[in-house]
Amino acid sequence: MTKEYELNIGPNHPGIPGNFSLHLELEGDTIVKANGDSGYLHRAFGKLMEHRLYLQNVALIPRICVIEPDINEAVYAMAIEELMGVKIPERAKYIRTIILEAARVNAYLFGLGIFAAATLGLYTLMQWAVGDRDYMIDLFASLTGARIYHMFIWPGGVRRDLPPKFEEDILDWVKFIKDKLPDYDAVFFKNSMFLHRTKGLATITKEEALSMGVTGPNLKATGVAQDVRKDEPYAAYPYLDFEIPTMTEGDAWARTIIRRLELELSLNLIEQAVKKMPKGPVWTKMPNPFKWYVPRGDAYARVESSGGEYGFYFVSDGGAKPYRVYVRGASMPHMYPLAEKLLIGQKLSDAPQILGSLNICPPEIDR
Amino acid sequence: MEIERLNQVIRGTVEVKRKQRVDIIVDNADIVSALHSLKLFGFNQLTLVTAVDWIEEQQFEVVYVLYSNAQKVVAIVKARIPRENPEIETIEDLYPNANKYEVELTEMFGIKVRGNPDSGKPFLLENWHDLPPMRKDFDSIKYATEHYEARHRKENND
Repeated sequence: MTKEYELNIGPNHPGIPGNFSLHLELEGDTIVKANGDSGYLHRAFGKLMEHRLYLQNVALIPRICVIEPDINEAVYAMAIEELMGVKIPERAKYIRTIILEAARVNAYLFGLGIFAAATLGLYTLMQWAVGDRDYMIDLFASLTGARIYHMFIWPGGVRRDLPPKFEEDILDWVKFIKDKLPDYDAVFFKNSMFLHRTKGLATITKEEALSMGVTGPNLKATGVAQDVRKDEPYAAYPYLDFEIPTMTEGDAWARTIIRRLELELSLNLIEQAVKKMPKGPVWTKMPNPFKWYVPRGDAYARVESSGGEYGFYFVSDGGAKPYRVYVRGASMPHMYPLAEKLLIGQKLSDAPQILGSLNICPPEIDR
Repeated sequence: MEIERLNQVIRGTVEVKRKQRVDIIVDNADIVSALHSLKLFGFNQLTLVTAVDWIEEQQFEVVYVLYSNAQKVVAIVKARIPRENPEIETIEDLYPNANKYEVELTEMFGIKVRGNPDSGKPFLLENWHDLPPMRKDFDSIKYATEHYEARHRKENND
């Protein structure tokens, strides 16, 4: 005889990827109903930005997401450039691409490490991945002066040119990670425990994913090659040669393998961008911060983040501060309604794997 | 994509802003029918739903951003509604992920969503009894000084 009961997991729980909680209704150990509970990280970035000058906001926006802060700087800059009609120099486009791809690799390394360790108990991958990510963080420090929040991409281009020897250093790092990938495969992606726990788990179909607004690796795992880098190329992506990886299974395993393939793609893109990068200026001069007005209008700027489509809906009333900014995080549809629906009928012990495979980033929901 | 065809199926103003961006301005009463036509036209993904508070004109602008996966075009659908007793119709049955965006709209702007059972339930805020915080007349500095103690600072820098 089974008994129905309620259970809260999170926000402080190793199986929950970040600061949100889940209110579950269970029958035995089968989930009957799942309700997400967000708001633990709400900081009202939209409101904060309305009170700050355009230059001041550059220091604020990377703080929306710790794992991958650079996408915020990029969409902010792209929205303002679109409204002001500013064209950025060629070299700045390449530097942006290198930064965004390196940040994506960092996000995948960190995300896969946490997924392997916290939900499956495979701590080796986490130790390696977090350590390997740290070498890139050191390179970021030499490039931008900061380890996590770089504030390097800003309206008009990027802040500074590359320091001497940076190209060599980043290519060394790319080679180092590429040499490490077979080890990652052996210890995690081909690990039978990972295969047993994720194959066939929480499958999504192509139609479901599209109707729910799912993007990024979660959509690519169902067989749809949708990627902002290809569909609406920004920065230097139009000049680079790449294919979007897809799989057709749509289960937790495929979603994880897609991240592994994306990791390799990003490393290739960094190599291409470093080799093709032209010489020249890196910044189109922008107005004095105190006389910096953006013409009246609205723009929706979007990039491909490690989780999916990430964008700012940006409104200006012609003043010195943004009138309204809405942050579109990729994780919002992945949590509501996708995760809530996927969890129904699953075992409680599979919940962390399902949530981990969706790569939900709570700061993108709360903002 | 043929913009003329879009003009025929939607009651409202359709403007191609730039490559891959279409602006569509509709009346308050035509929001759901316009989104319905757009979905049939191929705009199969809902990217976001939000609002802009145009306080000087006493209006809210409700904004829906849609994406067509086949045509690779983003459509931005905008509708102005009065600021007094604002209400819109739900689009949850068209796009399942609209639910939480609409809940957020009610919480942050006080725009009621007819037909959404969760509209009015708390989402990101907890025990909130003030004006909806994203409205332009909500004074966040006044709220903060009333609800939180000032930070204790040292007298000197020793």
